[in-house]
Amino acid sequence: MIKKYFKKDEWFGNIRGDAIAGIVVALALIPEAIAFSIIAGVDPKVGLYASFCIAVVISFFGGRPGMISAATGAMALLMVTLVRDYGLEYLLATTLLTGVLQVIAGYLKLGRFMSFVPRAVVVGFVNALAILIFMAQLPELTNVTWHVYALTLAGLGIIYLFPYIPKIGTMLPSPLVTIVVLTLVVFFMGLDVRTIGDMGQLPDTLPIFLFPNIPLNLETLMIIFPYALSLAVVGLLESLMTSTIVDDLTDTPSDTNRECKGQGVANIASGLMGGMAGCAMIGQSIINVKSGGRGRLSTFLAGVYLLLMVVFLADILTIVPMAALVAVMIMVSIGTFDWGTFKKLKTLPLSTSFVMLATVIVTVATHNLAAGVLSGVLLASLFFANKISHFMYCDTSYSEDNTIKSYKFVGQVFFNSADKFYKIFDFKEVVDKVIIDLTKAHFWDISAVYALDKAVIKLRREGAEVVVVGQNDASATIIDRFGVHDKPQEIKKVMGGH
Amino acid sequence: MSKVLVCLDGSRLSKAVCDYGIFISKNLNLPLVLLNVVEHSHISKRVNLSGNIGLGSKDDLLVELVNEEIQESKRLIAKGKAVLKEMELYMKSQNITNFTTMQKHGTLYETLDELSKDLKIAIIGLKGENDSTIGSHTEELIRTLSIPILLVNKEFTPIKSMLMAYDGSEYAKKAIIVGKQNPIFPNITRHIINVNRDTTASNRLLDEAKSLFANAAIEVKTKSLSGEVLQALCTYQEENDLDMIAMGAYSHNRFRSAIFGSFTTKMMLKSKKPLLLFR
Repeated sequence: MIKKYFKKDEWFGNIRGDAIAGIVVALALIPEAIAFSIIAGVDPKVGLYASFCIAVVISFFGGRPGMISAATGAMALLMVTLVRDYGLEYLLATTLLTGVLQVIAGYLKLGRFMSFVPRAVVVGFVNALAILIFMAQLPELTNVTWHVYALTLAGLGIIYLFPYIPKIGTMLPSPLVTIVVLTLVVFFMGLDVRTIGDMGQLPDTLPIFLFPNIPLNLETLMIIFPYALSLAVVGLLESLMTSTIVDDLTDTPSDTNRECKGQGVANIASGLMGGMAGCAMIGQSIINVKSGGRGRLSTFLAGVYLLLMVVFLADILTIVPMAALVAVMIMVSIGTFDWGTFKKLKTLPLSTSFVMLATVIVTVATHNLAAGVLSGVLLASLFFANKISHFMYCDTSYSEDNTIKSYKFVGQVFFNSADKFYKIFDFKEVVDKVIIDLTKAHFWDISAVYALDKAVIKLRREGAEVVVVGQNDASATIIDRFGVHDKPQEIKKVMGGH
Repeated sequence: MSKVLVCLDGSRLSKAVCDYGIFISKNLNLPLVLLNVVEHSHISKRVNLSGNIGLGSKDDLLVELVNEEIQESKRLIAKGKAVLKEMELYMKSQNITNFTTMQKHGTLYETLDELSKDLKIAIIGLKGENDSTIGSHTEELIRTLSIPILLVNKEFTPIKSMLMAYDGSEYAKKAIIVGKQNPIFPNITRHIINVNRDTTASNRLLDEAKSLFANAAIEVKTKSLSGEVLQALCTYQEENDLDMIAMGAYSHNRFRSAIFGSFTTKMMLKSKKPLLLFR
């Protein structure tokens, strides 16, 4: 157990890099945690406690060293109506249940179902997430004075231009510089703009353990279960997607089932410590790797730094203008966007682009990434079925005296190609015997079997002797199980329409 | 369980490691595998703490990291190939033909774990390249693998005798039983040593150990020693000029080891002769 869960290398293989990356990540986590709390409609402290708990717990239990998990936008968006209608305590209970569901998913090894999510849907998910994070900033940019626009633009300018300054440019995190500069400007110019302090309570103590104060009955479960389920699904999806990104960047493998369980444990801890549900963060994980973080230590330290800074700097944090936060969040949104694939859109097959766009559109419309992914996966499957159905054709031949006709089928016969299969037969032709050769065909489902039955029966009615030969084993089992052409009593049912 | 694995990292002990491999493979008439593992660190030396991400940051970062690692990997591969080539020639000069070479990416641990099913024993140079202390990975390696590992820490000398440290634990008993049924070193004298202040108890343990070897055509001597365990074992080894020390490794959990220091690790540092470790 200890051996499995505590690998020295994963913790202490890169101490210097991890310690520094941890600071950079913590600095970016603070604005994000606050921003996502605002999206969810809770006090900033809920997101900050969540980010602390999740980062620290996942550093021990996660399956992907170097990945950053905390309170996230994808999860926050799913909680909006829950918080609005039922309040914080229900959110905490939901977070707890989300964690339990994720742990179960980990034990059931559901991570393997990620293989059903095609690349196009992953890209759609990531891009939809980027768009949602950006859209979530818009309320801060509407009905405000020009000062806010100026500050936000200046903030973005600092974020993207500061790193070009020689030497110090790459030594100081530019989001931090932005926050410090904008805060000083607002403070000394006495600008009347919204600050973090206006958004709700910040943490003043370390988080404390408390069980959510809700009635423990079926009614409560009926309220929180649907939310917990979509949170669990979205959390695992984003975490597993992020883990593949980190896998690619660091050229090291990750343990997906351990990651599922880890996410669950982290959310359980978060729910018990007054935090909201979270998951892995794409943008933060990229920042971590870019800053030199590779091990578990950077995730752990990011959480610890975050809490220390927040608790001890709470007074200063309250005067940070929201414009600075918005600038950082716009950066996160831009950085999350999968630009590489977006550029390739023109060269990709139309169906792939369509799946990606559908995922984005459904997600943005519903604010629910689970819905977006589901529609993306369904569409991709249909496209796939359609493509595979093209892989079916038939060679026909006659015996010398033209009394025997052979149909030699090649390819996949299933619901989408069954119709095509049936139409290949020429029922008007008068022959004594028909040989249907399925040596190179594969029958996948009941639609295919039904089509074969229909054809055989119709050919027999036209007076031909029909022989079916060469089913491969898999086809034979499915034909045996569902086929009726050798069972006369069933024929009537199949031919009912004639 | 049918191959003798020789791990080569290009350190000055590479040839000695090979020689021990040849010795064992000749004795047991098993094929040799010469392995070089290309261990990437995947840790960037570049420092960029700008902490910002923009359009295409992920792709840019990937390209940057890939470029950085290409050179490093190529260098390590070339170095490994050179070592393998050198040892291959050495093998041929010794008229050894029953061997294969293999180069793998990953960590030594991963690679051994993967190969361990087919291995009788793995031979590793104890002093890692340019390093006088125990390689950081050695402990991890020994703790996790179930095959015997021979740690080579000096130039080759034929093995004629071995010291077996025996504490009477289930572990040690099992090591003896396995060693008797399927000896890696047949035909050498075994000195079974127990270090204990209580001589009666000690002798009882030793008799027990000796009885385990009954009806095996193996010469066994036993000796009870007193004093500090590590020192006593090493002194006995030197006085009797034994060629190898065999012992169960890391029988305590790692927390205890972390606090009190591991006996196995201390032995690795102190021993002047190769260590045969069972786990």
